[in-house]
Amino acid sequence: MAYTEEELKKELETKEYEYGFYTDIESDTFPVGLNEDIVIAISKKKEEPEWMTTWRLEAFKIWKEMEEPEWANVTYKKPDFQAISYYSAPNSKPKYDSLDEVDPELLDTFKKLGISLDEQKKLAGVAVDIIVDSVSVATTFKKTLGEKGIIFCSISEAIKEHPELVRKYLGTIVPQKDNFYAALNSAVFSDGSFCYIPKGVRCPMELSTYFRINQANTGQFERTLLIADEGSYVSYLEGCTAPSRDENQLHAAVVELIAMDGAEIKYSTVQNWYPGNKEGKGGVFNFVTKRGLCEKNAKISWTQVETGSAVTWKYPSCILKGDNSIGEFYSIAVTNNHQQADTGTKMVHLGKNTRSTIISKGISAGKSQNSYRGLVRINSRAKNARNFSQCDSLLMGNECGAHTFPYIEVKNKSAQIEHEATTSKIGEDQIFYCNQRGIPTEKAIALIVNGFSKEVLNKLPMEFAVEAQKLLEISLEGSVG
Amino acid sequence: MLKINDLHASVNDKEILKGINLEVNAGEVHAIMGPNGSGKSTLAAVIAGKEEFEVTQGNVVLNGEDLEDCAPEERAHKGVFMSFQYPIEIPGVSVTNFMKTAINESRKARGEEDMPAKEMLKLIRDKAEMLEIDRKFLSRSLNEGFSGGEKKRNEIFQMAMLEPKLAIWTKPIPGWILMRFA
Repeated sequence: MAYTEEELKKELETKEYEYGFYTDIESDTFPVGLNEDIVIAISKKKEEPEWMTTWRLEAFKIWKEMEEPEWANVTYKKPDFQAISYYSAPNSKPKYDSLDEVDPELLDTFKKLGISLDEQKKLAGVAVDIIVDSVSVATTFKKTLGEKGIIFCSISEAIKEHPELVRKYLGTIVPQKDNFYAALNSAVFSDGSFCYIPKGVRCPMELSTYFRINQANTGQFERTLLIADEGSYVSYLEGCTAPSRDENQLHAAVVELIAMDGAEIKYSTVQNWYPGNKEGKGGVFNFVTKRGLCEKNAKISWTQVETGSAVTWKYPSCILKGDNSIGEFYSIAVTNNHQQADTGTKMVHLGKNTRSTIISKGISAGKSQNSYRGLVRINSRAKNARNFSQCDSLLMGNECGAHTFPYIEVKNKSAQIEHEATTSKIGEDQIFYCNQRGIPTEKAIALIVNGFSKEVLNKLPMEFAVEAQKLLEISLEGSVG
Repeated sequence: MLKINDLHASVNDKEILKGINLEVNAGEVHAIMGPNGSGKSTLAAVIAGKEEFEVTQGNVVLNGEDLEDCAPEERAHKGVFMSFQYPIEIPGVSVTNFMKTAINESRKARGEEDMPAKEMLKLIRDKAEMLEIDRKFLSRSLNEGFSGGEKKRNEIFQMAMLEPKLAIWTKPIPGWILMRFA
């Protein structure tokens, strides 16, 4: 018989996490707890120069004095930072020249995730830097990129091979003392990606990274630093899934982007960390600091599809320092069951004629809470700045919530700010309309959600858009198969 | 083709249909008239299988098959089309995409492959031409910002695309359409 909202809700609740498997790879894991010795040990383990160790220790000192923030519209049991192990690396030799040398079980994991590492990637034009539990295991197509002078490697490698670049820019966009999680990340970051695009170079392929938490009880602290030199262009993709674990896992990443004069960075994320089970047990805590700096005529565009994690706290932001610079933020955030997301962006206009666009789509189902939190700040010097914000919420069922917290601070009279917001509900009427035309309920929901998210999905690179659409369907459709 | 036998239906325990009998043969046009609140729309919704109405007695038979246990989409696959008095808006989903999905879901239910894109485009073009519908209209979001007339026209377009066996219209139809479809 036909569908009721009750049945729809039930179906959404029974949707299980598809990537909940655990790979048994021997790991080299530090004892739990955090103190100076652990910070030094991480640095040593990674064979870092002294300046790096000092930098980490500074961050640790700052972090110790800081309080975990409470202003976000989320409630959770705060992690016990002394009960977490801060380093875990797959035990096998960490670097390989070819795939044949990679642990077959690890390759199997990738296969389950649908990541193909073979030559097809080259045809698809994707270079992948994969991070499994903190250490980059395989980096491909470095050679092709090298010919253009592009550096794309793990941050650990960059610290060793390109210390002058790392030292110059690390922490300039997100300083150690920026916030609680950024300070923690600065002290203990295990690995991450580094990318440098030289002057005037257009990166010939989409750069992509897959993250994955694998070891139970291991915090994952990624550090990404991306520098686009004058007039260069790069499109960077970041996607992740995590296996199903009972304990809450902490993920506190920091991403710093620098777009110099006339450069353009497109940064796309698909986030699918384990969201916890339908009772709200387990799941990843995702506390991320992402920020980019735009110099003159530069452009940074953040696109994110957030479907996973039990708790998300994430505000990819743009500092529009240079005149005529452009910041964009396109976001789809899906929450189901007991998930909580507090996400949005900050657009800080410092330069003249700076422009920013914010398009945020929140989809809430089950008993979840989905908040948009955004700041648009026009400083006194920022003549003729413009912002357009649009925040749309889609609700499914009667037990979820959608919230919008827009902050607008304008200190220059020439600014033009627009803000639009809508809230709608997938109604039985919409579903019945689709049903009557022969479209079953699951397909109808997918159709409605995709329609709702279209403006953001269109911003994703092709190969990612397909994956993102699939994720939206998995996250909301219910018991397919 | 359609046979309604002593149909009783209620909503929230309030009986609205109290024993309807009707037989419609292929090629026939039946007009059901009555004052407001006499249950015309309810009859249409019950035939289409809307959940909120409970059939307490009697049944609806389409081509010899009792529809009682059929979900609304299954009824659609069997050739039931009901026009909506107030067609629903689905933002971001184009008329074309909606029709493509509807047609392919019906084909899937019959165990057929998706309609090839070329064939689909031709079908859309033919039907749009027949109904004098501007192609630009087809890429707009379904019913969003449509005028009353556009919504009605869109319902007719969908009916033409789906080629149902039984079409139910719950509001008087402009004469020119009757001319084409009767």
